[in-house]
Amino acid sequence: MKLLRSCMAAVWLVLLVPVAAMADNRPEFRIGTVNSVTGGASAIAAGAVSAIDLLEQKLAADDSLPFKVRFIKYDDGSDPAKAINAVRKLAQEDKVHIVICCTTTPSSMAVNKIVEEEKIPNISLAAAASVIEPASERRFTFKTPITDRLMLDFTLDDMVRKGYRRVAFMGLDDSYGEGGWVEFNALAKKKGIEVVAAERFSRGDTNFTPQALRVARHKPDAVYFHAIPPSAALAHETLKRVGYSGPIYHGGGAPTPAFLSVGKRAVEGAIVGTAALTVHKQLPDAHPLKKAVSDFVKIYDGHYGEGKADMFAAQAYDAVMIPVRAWSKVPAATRGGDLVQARAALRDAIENTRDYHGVIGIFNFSPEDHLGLDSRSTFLVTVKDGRFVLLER
Amino acid sequence: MDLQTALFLLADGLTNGAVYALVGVSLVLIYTTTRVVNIAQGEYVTFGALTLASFIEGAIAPVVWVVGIGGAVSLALDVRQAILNRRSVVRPVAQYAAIGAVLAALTLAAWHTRSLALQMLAALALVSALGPIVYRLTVEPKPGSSTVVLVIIGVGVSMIMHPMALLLWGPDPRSVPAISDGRLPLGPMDIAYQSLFVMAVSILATLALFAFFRFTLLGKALRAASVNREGAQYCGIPVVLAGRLSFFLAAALSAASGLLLAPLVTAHYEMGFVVGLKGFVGAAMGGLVNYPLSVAGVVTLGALESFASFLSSSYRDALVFALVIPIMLWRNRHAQEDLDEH
Amino acid sequence: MNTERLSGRTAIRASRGPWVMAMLVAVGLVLVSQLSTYYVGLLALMGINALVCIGLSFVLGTGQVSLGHAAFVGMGAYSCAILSRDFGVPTLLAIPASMALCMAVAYVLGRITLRLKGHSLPLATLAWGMAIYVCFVAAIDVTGGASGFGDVPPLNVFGITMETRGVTLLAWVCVGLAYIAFRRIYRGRVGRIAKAIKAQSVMATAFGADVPAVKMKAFVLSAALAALAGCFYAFYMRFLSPTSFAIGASFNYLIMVVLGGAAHPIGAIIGAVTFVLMELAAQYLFAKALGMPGQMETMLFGAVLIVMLLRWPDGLLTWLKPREEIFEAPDGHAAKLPQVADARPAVKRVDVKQVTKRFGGLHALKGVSISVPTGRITGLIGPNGAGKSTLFNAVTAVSPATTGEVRIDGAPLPRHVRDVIRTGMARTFQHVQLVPELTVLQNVMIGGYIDGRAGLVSSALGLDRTEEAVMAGRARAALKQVGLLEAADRPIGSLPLGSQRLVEVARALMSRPDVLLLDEPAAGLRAGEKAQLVELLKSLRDERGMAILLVEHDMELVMSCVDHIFVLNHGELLAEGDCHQIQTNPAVISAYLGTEA
Repeated sequence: MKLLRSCMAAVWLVLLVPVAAMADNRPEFRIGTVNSVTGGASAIAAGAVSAIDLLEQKLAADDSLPFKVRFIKYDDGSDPAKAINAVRKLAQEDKVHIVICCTTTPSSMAVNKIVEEEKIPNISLAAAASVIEPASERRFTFKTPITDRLMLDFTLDDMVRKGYRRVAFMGLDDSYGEGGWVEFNALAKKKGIEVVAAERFSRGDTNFTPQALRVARHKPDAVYFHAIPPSAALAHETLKRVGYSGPIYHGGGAPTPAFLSVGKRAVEGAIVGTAALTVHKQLPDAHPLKKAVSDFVKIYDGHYGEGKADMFAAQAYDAVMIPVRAWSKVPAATRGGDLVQARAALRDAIENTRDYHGVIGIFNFSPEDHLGLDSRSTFLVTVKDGRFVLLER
Repeated sequence: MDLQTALFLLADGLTNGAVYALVGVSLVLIYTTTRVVNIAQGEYVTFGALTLASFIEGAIAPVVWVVGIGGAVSLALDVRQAILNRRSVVRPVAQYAAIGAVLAALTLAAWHTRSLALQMLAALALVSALGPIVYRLTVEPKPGSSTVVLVIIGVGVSMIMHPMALLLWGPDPRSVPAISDGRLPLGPMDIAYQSLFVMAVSILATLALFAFFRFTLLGKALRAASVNREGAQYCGIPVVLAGRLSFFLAAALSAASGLLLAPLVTAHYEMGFVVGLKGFVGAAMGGLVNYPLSVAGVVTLGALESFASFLSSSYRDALVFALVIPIMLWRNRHAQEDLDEH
Repeated sequence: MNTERLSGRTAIRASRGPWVMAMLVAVGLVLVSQLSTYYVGLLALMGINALVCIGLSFVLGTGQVSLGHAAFVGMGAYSCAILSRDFGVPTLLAIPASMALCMAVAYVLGRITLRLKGHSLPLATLAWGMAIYVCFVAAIDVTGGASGFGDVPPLNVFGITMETRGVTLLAWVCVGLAYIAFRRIYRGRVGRIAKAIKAQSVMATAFGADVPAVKMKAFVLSAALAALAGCFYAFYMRFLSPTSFAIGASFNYLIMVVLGGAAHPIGAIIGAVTFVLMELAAQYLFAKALGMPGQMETMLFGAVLIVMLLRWPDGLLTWLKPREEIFEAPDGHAAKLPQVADARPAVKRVDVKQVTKRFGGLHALKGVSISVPTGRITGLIGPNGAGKSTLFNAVTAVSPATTGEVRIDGAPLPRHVRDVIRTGMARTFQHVQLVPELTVLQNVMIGGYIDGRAGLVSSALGLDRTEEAVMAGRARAALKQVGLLEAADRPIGSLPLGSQRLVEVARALMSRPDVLLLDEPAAGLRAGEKAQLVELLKSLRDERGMAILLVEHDMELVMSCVDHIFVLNHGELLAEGDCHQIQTNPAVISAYLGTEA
């Protein structure tokens, strides 16, 4: 009995010891990443995880950098509490220089406080603008994904230009869809567009007819979807089937190969907001984004297969390369010196990044803007013959 | 809401219900023969659909490895049991070898063929084989476990199978061709032929199971095995075989549901969970013991979902789940008269 | 029985308790103040989980499964956050308000669903758990929706703002208090009856328990704890996302409870702590050491869970069996607690008139009339299938008669089983209905349930010591009467079946009945024990003037102590009379042995 008890205690200790033994200060550049590898957001995180794995290999083989890059990767299981734990662990135990967290907006919002407390720079992969606003309170948080607001602004302008006054919204019922809805609603009001219907559906739904029916009944001038495949394509298909024949727009989560393979003929004619990645082949060679995107696609597709590169991977790619580049700008003495100062220097270096041609877009960070993207990075494409085709501005 | 819309929604609800029906029926099957409340049943839907998708893409479905390893472990356990009981080791080995051979043959054939039917058959066989493996590993060691323990074991199985699907197939949805792409016009609305197939298979399966368990001796024997395990054993009813067989059948039915559903909504790793949950709710409305009632339950649930979706798509699930409770209360009261305390 | 040595040992164990507590508190304070906020954060989560699990464990202990408890945590968290941020309510008010709200909702839900039987209850808990979660997401104006609810103000007590460390400390203080309270509850009157309800709810009802009320109390109390945990969660995270309260979270709480073991509240704490540690270990093992994809962690977790449940269903408590001492009656206290028995008039006789019982087409009893007067041992015999147990159940209101009536001194038998014991009738059961988790003494104390007053609150506050001591004393006296006093502290499973039957008799005696109904008490007794039983019955009849109804198969035993016999056959009364009359009655002989050749 007693023996068993002490064995149990020993087992508990053994579990704790490796956790405690991580403190180790080597002259390397440590990047901590927290992604939703499991849980509800894992579909969104998959691309990011692949990109980070790819970069880990690429940077390990890269001798031109004056430092080693080491990745420490954790999974938050789509749970903000775990994200907080992971970030704290990365900052306090693993002593990383920068954190890349998180996949979802709620997790990113939850770790904001920790990031400011620990004074460690963070690059978020979440879609909402609220992650980095107000900039005065979020000094250490940056993000690479195009915000819903930026993309919607561009998309809604197109609707205004074409004279669509009455628009319906259909989106996912999770934080991704909700983020889109909030921005859509606010921007629509500002631009004088009337939102005639707002319907929600789940990622795992097998049936979209009721929502589609309701939207079709209002006979809107245009319908906007904020979802990811397969539900984005399936709901689109259902909408057409119940008799709506007008223009259909999609948000930034849709332009993936899966959208086309799931939607097939039904999504012909859809207008999708996207970044340069989707149509880089159709960009003129002189376009500022062409080179960065093509290089990325070559590396990524070369490793994972033709056509695999998507926005989520691109966002993560930029999220790693920006700090790597910024770190080289930090003086070597600071790099090897006190961790707190090193992190602060890194933060400043990132904030001073100007005109960086990333894969997602051209980044211009500033103390007021921790996204740094503008409409040069947003594009509208349409689905034609089963491919995404660039729409001229 | 006008009449046309209401009809649309009703037809929609029936289609929904048909999707959940096969899962609901498999849950009833498992419960009536083993008293296990299998929360993880939806995962077989996912696995069935994704395995078919793999075959269609011309790859060997990764589930083969799972079946292989699981089968090996089960064989090892069975052999050990045979040795402990001083029975012939040859029998279990021969049985497993035979089944393994059949599965391997089907897999190879499906890998090289273009025939949709053969691919579906192979996918069905492979995923159905998972059923008895799960039973062997999680229920058979302790058949007398309490409800709580069995429910949590079901949760554990779900925790293994759900991420496994993501691990084996990735998050991207995959297309699966339908048996028939057409749609049947019914007045102002139309229903996909594929949906009709789903409904037809569900009805057939329900009738078959109902008849089997109500009218045949074997069916009654299997039911007896779940009510009083020891007593059934003394009567010579092969209780262990009953358990494995019912898990096999249940897995087959759920996998079939996945195969038929995939063309409509694509095969992706999350498709099964919600279907499993709603099938469970629907079946429970029928008390988990009654086939026709459980089909009625899932259809009711499907219709409720359809109308609730129309009324308020944000609160849809809240409405549906909240409405489950009064239905259960009503059922419980009617069941009181002939139910002894449990 | 060496009372002195027992009380000495009890004294030592009792005095060790506060030292252990003090040491734990000291260690805890050091940890919380010195460790980095990462570890403190882990401790906070463990504490929050432990709070939920302590309540959930008790609910499980009454035999109910809740698959929706995360919804209560969420309700507590959101209401606390909304009150604090949007209405500026100070923490010390927000927390109790949230708990009250949650308890009210739990009460309503409980009224609706706790009556469901079997697997319907878990399903109902699943249903409202999911419905409430969807409301969290859909009510975007109130809760912030799926994007979350941010800027929760920090916990503020008397002007002191508590950050991570403070919240962790407070949470664990609450865990400690809850643990102490529940340990007392488990040990006391409500805890015993809760375990009885889980094991055999019919028996619990037969001894006066209002089963739905007890279940409801456990449920509402657990909702209060869950709400408290939710409040701490809100103040720790300072940001709420609905996904933290989805079905997965409910499953996790259940896993923690089962992992730790539901038999004792320490199991809940162990389960919560082990769960977090296991997650960490899995993450370390897979993410860092093996570099394998994150899905493998969850899969491993599932596998570990299944293996644990199959091999060790009692959870980690299989190895850590805490022992509970029963309070000794203080010397010299001639315990004088009021009893139900004192308040009611003594029963003179029980009359069964023309009782018929039908089960569908089966006529189990046809117009049977017997009487059980005071000061007499009445026997009820008959071949197998005669209807003895059916009649027994009719007399005890477990399975009321279809027609006919049962009267106690002319008054009709109460309709509810739980009121029967108040009339002065106590019974034993044909299949022994003892609670395997309790000791012999604790099982006997169940018999005194209706005499007790201690509820959840008084047990938790430790105000029930005197009552418990008195009850224990009475239970020991009852055990002494049946000759099993030295077995008092042994687990019930260690007794042979015959002795277990005697324990049932002792339990019945505990309620000071005027009428004692015994259903085959001698089955499995050895000859010496049977003789003891006969002596006991005779002394009860003579000294206490009890009316005793004895259903038995053992003819020798029956003939040696019974005054009047009723013989049943095929649901009808075949004959009645004293021993000699019955033994020579030709109809009786032919019923038992067949007609003479």
